[in-house]
Amino acid sequence: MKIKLFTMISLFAAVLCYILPFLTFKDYSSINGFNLITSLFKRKELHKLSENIQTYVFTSTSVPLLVTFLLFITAIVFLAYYQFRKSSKALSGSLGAVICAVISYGVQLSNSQTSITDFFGTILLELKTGDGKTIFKTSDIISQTGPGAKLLVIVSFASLIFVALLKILDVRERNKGDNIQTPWTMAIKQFKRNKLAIVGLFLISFLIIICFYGPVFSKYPLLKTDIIMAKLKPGPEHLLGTDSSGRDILTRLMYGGRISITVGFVAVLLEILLGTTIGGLAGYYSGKIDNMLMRLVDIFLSIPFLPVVIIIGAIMSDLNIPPQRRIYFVMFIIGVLSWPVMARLVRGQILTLREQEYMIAAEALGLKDRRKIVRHLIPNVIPSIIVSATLGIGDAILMESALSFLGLGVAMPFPSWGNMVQAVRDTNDFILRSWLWIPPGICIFTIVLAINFVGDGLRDAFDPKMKK
Amino acid sequence: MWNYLARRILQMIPIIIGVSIILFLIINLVPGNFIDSKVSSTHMTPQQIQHLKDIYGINDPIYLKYFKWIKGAVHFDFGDSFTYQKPVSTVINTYVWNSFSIALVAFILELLIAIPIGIISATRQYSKTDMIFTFLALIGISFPSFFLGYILIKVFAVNLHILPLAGLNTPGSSYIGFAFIIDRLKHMILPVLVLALISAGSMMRYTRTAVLEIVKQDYIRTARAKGLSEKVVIYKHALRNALIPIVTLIGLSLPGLFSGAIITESIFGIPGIGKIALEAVTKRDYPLLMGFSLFVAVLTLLGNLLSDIFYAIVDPRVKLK
Repeated sequence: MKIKLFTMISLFAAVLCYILPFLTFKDYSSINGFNLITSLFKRKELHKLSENIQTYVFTSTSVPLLVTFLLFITAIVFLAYYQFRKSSKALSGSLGAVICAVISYGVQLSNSQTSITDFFGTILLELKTGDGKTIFKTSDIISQTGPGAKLLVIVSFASLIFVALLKILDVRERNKGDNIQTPWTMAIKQFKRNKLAIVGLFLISFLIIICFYGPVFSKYPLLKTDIIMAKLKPGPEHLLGTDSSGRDILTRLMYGGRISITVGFVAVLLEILLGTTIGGLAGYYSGKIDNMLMRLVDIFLSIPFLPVVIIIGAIMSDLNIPPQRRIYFVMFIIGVLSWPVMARLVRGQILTLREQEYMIAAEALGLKDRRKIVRHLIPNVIPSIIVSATLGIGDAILMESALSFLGLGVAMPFPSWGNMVQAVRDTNDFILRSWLWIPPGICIFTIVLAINFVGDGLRDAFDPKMKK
Repeated sequence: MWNYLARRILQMIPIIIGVSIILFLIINLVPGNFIDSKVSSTHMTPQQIQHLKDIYGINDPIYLKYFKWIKGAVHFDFGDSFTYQKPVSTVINTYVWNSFSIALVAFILELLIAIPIGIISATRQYSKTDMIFTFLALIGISFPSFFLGYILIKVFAVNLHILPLAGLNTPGSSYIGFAFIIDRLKHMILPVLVLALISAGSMMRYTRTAVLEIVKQDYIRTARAKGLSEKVVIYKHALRNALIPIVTLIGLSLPGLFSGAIITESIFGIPGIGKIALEAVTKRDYPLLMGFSLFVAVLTLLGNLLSDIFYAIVDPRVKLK
């Protein structure tokens, strides 16, 4: 099996590459506001490595980076176990570990807004400049991402593909004989039949990968302005042209996508958390608690969404909240204002489930309330939650883009797809330079459309009435 | 029926109070006050400023402010708008009708597009027609309204020059009679199109689900079994029941006709309530915003009530208790 060999090689390469970005520059720092997971930076400086390069940071660890490393090691261990024992669980473990490693490296990349420069990148730069007397400052390096980070992205995706291939082959081999149908496998089968949903899934993965890993390969820094290069037409140098401050639009699209997508996911996560808790409580303990919680839901449902979001956006500017922090508020507001719908859904479902026989059995067994809710009721509500949450992500992205478009969400100089469309405000740009505002609009449209495809497919897949 | 109505309206009161408290708290998060921002350019003594603040009750504790405000609100007095120097209710009344005319046309167009397509889609479930319509509906749902608006402006107003850019009438024109109506209609085409296309998608999906739900029921099978033509089965037997959930949805969208479309109106420069609300945000005209938000909240609640009543009217099985 050649694939196994390739997988092993790429996994080892990933571990090796992982070490490269460790050697970073002294001023390597994360920009606040973008750290989704608190990064802990630890530095050891290495003085006078050579004449020209004065200080290096030898180690720079962050939690996601460390997690990436451990996950790759785990993947190797699992794969070795699979090699000897032929256990399919080990292969699943390996696949899971690689997926998590890729995701956590994506988190690490979005933590460092500018770029990750590494040891070899500096050496390369020094060789290019040539005269041997330059002293590098971070600002020189910041515009370029080191080969270490680039390599790691490539290699980790390669190993992801290889492990996934292994897994697919393994599953095929095992499934030749029997097939057991659980509700979930039936749902997956049904989902796979829906071509639009599959297309949507691919589109979403594609956009996420481009947005989160793409900036590593971009030559252009996010925030550096260059007025001479402003509003260039799309061409070989700048594939999608440059914006009014001379920043590369493709790069900004990728960074903006990170923000828009993250806002969508986090807002919906918050919505699910609040909605299922409150809806579950209300549905389970009917009577007074239900009554009170549902009145709260009624209140939140009657609050006009867009006006209030806009008012809060304006208040954020009045309170001088820095642009980087604003995305947190945007996520929070969208999540807090959209949970009532979810709560109603969960409550309705639980009300009907509660009356079913298996719940009487649970009662007879003397299970605790918490166990009944968490183990027996919530799992049966999950399909509807998934469907509603998927569609919710699309809505949240639309809401964020509208808010940013109005200048009340994510603020310049940080891009989001919504605030990039703001270029239409300038009449000349609107009429003559459509590359400034059409690509971000298409991006919003594409991802929301893809999410809706998937949500629609999921609804059909989970709904037994929709069988062909 | 009347008992039911009275009880429902009574139930609305605590909800309105809750909404108003939340809105009031949000708006009071704003730092500073309008007296400070106004007097900075005048020559007033601190005593005079203090006096002004006492008159407007700026230094009152927050609950007192709220009670003062709610006392006025009960009499439809939401204070004066800062920018228009008129009572908020007058401002809302002036602009809401522009929004209403556009929203109404868009709503009718939306129903005309969505309901027939939804029915066709449902009767041919999983056919190619259904796939195409589903695809189109999802496209409609996914378009950000501002982006769609600007694309339509770019194509029809800038590139093709067949429709006006913005506004409700050609500025400086003195059309009267028929010419005026034609001019107004031309201006309304694009915004109406945006509003209708954006919301037709979900309405169509909703209709489709409603019809599908009904088509699977036993009495439809009976109707087919006794040899009725497919047309009679669908349009006479199925459609009547399928329309029930759609009618309630129409009840729910009624308040939307009055609340204005903030984004679409501001893109097309339509002097409607949505655009006024957005301008109020940029000008920090909080009394107007507060009045507007409460207005929309009340409309939403009334819409819920209306849809329940509709439900009882069209479906005799539902008894309002």
